[in-house]
Amino acid sequence: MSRSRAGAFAAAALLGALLLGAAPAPGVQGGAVEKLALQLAGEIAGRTAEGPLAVHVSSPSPVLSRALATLIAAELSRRGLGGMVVDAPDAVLAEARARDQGARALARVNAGLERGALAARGDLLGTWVNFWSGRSPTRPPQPAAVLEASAEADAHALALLAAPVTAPIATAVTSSGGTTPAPPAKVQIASAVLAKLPSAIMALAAGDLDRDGVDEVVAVTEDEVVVMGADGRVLARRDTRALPAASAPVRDPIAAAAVVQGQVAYFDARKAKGELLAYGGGALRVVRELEDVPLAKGMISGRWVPGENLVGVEARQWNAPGPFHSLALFQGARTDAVAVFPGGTGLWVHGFPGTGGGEGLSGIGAGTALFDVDGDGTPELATTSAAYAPEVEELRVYVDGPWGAPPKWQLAVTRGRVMAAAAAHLDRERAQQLLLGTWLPDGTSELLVIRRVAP
Amino acid sequence: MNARALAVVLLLGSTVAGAAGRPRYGGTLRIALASPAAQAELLNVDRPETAALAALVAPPLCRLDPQRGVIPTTAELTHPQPNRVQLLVRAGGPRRAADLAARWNSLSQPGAFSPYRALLAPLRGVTATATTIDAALAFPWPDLDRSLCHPALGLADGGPYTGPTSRVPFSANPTFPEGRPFPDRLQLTTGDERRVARSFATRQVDLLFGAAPDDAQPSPAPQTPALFATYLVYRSAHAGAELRTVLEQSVDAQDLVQRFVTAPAVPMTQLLPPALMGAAAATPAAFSGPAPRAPGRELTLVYDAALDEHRAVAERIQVRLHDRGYRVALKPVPRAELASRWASGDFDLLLQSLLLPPAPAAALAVAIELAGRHDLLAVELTALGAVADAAARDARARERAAALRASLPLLPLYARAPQVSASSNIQGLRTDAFGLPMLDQLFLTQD
Amino acid sequence: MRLKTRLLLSFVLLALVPIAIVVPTARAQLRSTLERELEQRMQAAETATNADIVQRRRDVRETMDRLSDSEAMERFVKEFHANLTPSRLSATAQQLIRIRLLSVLSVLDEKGVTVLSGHLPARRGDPDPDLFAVTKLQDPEPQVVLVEVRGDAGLQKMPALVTARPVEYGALKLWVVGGVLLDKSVADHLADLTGTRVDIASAGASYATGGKALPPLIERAVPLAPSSEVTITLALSRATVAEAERVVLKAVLVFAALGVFLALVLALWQSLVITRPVEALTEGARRVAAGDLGAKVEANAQGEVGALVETFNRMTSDLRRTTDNLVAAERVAAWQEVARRLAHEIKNPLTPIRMSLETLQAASAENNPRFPSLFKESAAVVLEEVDRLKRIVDEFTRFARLPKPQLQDLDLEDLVKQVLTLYAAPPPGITLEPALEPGLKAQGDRDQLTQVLVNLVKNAQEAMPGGGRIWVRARSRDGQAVIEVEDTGPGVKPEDRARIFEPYFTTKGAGTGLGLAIAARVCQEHGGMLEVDGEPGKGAIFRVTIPRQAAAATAA
Repeated sequence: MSRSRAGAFAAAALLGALLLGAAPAPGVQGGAVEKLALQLAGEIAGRTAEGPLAVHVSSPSPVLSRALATLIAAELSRRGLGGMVVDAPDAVLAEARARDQGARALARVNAGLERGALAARGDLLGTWVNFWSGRSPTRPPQPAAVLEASAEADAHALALLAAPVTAPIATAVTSSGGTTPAPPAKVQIASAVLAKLPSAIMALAAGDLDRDGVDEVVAVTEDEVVVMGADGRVLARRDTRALPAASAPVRDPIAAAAVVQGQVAYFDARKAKGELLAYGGGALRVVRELEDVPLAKGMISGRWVPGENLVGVEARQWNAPGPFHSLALFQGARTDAVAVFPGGTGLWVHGFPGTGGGEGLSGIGAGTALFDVDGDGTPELATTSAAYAPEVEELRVYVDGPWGAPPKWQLAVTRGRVMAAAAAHLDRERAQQLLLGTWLPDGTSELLVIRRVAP
Repeated sequence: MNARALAVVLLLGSTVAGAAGRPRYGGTLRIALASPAAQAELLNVDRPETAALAALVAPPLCRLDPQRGVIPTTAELTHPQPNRVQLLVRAGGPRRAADLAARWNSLSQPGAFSPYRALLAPLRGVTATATTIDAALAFPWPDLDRSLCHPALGLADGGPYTGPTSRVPFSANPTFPEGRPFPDRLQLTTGDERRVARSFATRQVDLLFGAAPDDAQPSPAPQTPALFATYLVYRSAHAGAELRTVLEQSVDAQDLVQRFVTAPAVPMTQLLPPALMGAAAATPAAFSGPAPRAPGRELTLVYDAALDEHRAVAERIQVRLHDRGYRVALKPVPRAELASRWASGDFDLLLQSLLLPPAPAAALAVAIELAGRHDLLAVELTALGAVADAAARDARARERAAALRASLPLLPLYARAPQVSASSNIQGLRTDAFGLPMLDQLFLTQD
Repeated sequence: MRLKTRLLLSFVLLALVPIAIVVPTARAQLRSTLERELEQRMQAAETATNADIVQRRRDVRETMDRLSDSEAMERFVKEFHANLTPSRLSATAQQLIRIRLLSVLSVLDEKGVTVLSGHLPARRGDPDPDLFAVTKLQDPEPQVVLVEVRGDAGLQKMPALVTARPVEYGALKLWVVGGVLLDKSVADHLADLTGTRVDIASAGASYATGGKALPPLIERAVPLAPSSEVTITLALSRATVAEAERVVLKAVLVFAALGVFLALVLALWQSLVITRPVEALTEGARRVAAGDLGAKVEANAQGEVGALVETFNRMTSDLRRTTDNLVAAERVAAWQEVARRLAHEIKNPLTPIRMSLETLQAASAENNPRFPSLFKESAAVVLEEVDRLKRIVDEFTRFARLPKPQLQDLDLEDLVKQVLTLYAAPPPGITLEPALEPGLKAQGDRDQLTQVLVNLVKNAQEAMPGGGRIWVRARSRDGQAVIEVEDTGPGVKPEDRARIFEPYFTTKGAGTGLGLAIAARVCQEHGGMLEVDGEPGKGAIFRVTIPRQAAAATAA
């Protein structure tokens, strides 16, 4: 669970621009921020009947604070309560300023990201000073209330909170020669819904299909293969329902997908064969069928164990300890891979495929991938809950090291079970984003993007 | 277990013990069923404890997921034309659709105990090829899709598990259309309540059906829909019109549920269980009938000899009616005889439980059929089927249920859901819209 | 009554009489003993029943005392206090019942509502006034109460010995009421114990019955409690007494039958020994009387009877010899008689012959002129007398040289009819009435028999010069043919009857007197006989009897 701490980074503007064009937040018109503002304004209006009302919002991101404050004030004015924004470095001073400005009441709100929701908490207090009380800053008895509101964070809100990179993390500050690694800037991660798909996502892959320098997202679901842009817009679809079924049906929907040389290779375990698809002109075209399961971005291939959710690999390709659910690859200075075995165990292979050995992992779940969260060129391991149907799904990100240390980052996933994960470059930064496919109880799924935000 | 031992696996106190994000294949699923009955009763769809087990061997045509709706598992229903339906059967032997049609046909025979034939009432002219069944609809019936997921209408074999119905383990069926179940084998033991509860407590079995786990706390109220309804069916011709009045006045469903039905149950004030009646269940129908004359009748109450629960209820009814001057003889009979007696009308009072479908209109049809009023079926179902909107149809069905409560020769008693306890190494256990645990979805986590 | 029968009867009586005396006395004795014993048994049964009931009461009291103090009860009350599910509570109750061997167990709360019931689990939640009344009595002794239990046909009330104990836990006060049912198992137990039929009943209804007893019965009622209507009735069957009597009687009868049988056997044996020789003797005597003078009796006999048989045989052989001698002498006498007669007959004609010839001699010597007429007269007389002599000789010759009959099959009816045709025109006043059995055949000589019949009919005619009736009958009797000629003449005097068949015996003026003798001889030669019968003055019946089949002619 992340604390409501985040910094403001410059690239937020770019991200914000990208994300503002993204798929709208679920349900209501207006984004999370607007919803929050409406809620708060409603609460405030319910507690007091007289204006003018001052609003002070603090949050990790001044942009967010100002946006929220503006919206709340506007709503209050619309309700005839005369809203005005108070700018102050902290809540205590805000009260003094509000009193000075002659507001009758002040709403002080602290907004932040809480478990995937944009939450605001604060209080409402009266600031009108009785003439007879003189200069003592007594407070009138009314209004006095606690304010609390939350709204589901959408990409827009996230963008407002996002921390653009100000400087590379491991920058050497030359002072007297030699390099001293700068203390790493604090990084937090946050999630947002990128897209919603009508059926369960079985596998995710990312790669640049249209050679624009930014990855497209490939999602293999129970009914189709979908290619989406970095903003979540659907670019192409291929319906797979009519493809011939495998001879031994597989109960647990599982697939493997990879972008290999600009083409989409996937194999649904419930089907008889996989396919290699080429994307072009807004459509997916079948290049050929695949007999083997494409793994590790095409480096190796395997065969599905008939009737089960495991894929086996021949020893000469990779000397695996046994069949596994999925294999995640990271290609950097070194090629690393993490395989997820049944029972929540895994294997982190440094130098894939290597001789077959690796570091044993435990307690890892289906949504496991290697991605460079902080842009330092080395992969971090992201994994989800190893429980089958956890009460709260969570994402844990570990830095490379002996297994057993606690995760460096943790994030709660509010809805559904994460069953697929892939690393992607959705922007032109060095750091990667993580894509998560979650299954919802009603049979649909959501595609989440995990990115880092300023603390 | 099909995973070879990992070369280097350090289980260093992971935060979550043992389980995988994905289900694991393999293992033996051990189930204990509290039932002294013989093996033949294991495929009894009318009883909460055995209906889920029956579904493992004789699978229903589809699964009704509470959130996702109808999921075709062994068969798929399509509507090629507005009043024609076609069912494509995917599991079972080479002549599966013909066998299924024959099974449906045998349900419709006059001598069979099959109130569930009401679910097939709209179908006319059922013809079958080897893999498909075609039929016409006599009247529109939108609930047909959901009704066909009823376990009683399913296939005779080709389920997720196969094997003879004896104590030897059942094996996973690799050709099941949804995919083989995760455990390799299923092992079933039966016994009396205390013994199976003990074996569950000592972790000798993974799932416990029909008994509360062996601890001193009372069982929690069921959160799954209680759709196994128990009714007291009576023959007005035999027993007289005032019998209904006496039954209404003397048999208190709340009292039965509190004191005499040991498994978790909810009393039924209306014709359909509270899970189907919704808000209307709260208001018990007022009943007024002919005042009872001088007593002195002798009646016989027939019930299933293998069910302890029904025995306790029957004894209570006997006592209550005795206080009102009726001499009631209890006659426990085997299930087959109970069925034939119901079918031939050879009873005064008969205690029967059955599984109602989760759609109020279809459940009403089954209740009317149980009461033996085939004449009402056509009228009521046509009227209900004409309502296209699901919510309106449900509301209309509830109204009709409330209206018919007093006139059908049925006294609704209580409704139950299956009593299932799972040990901690069971994962993925969910219940479907019938209230049955979907046993083919679960998997084992322990080595 | 025959000797054999008498013997049999006496033997049988000998066997039966003692038995007839002994049996009734024994029976009476037996009956009184058994009745006494029955009475004692009933007394013992009553005592045993009372003791058993007392024991049961004690058991109930002790069990309930222990139960109300037991840990199980404490645990139960705690569980109840903790509002446990009914299933657990009733399982506990079942356990309590099983362990304590109670057949009635209820727990009531302060208001008399059944918290749980082991004997009628379905009563939970209802008030139970009967059992609640027991709790009010404040008496640790078990009471007799009618308890509702479940039967096959519904609920019924059964008597039970129950008592109540209070159980408390904090503010919670409960009553546990328990006891034993007086049901069929108790009745059966008492029946086994006492060997009687046990009926547990009250005025209106019978609750349980154990054991069997066939009527007639002797009954005793044992009340369970002074205030209770329920009683235990013990019944013993008198049928055992009757049965015992019957058994004894049967045994006696068997022995009697055996005795009678032995007596019969003995009697039969004795009869063989005694009566058969006696009968043989009787038969022999009869044979002798019938004419078989030489009859011998063959019999195995010892002792007196044997001596008798020997004597008899000796006697008959003497008789025979004597008879033979007598017959021979008679025969001689008969020939002497016949010779005398014949001589007499011959002598008679000789005298006129001599006189005639002497006359002639004299005449001739004198030269009587009447010599030729005298000669003619005398010649006529002499010739007549010679004719007479010739006739006598012819008849005698015929009598003496009667040929053996040539036997052939004869139809007697035909024969008689032929004879009668000779008399088709009988002399006036004489009627002939034949009565002939048709088809009567016999073996005989036609001519001789014809002669016989002619003779008889002629005699009958001659016996009735004034007219009369003559019947001629022919019939068969006993294998013999019988021809009777009956007339209405003067009959034959008894003193003559024996002699009329002798030769030359005649009562007629004319005739030779041989007719009947010849007829009798002919009949004898045929193996039959000729008899005379009839009352003097009323007529005579002459009866010819000849065998129908050829038989060896008896020696004449």
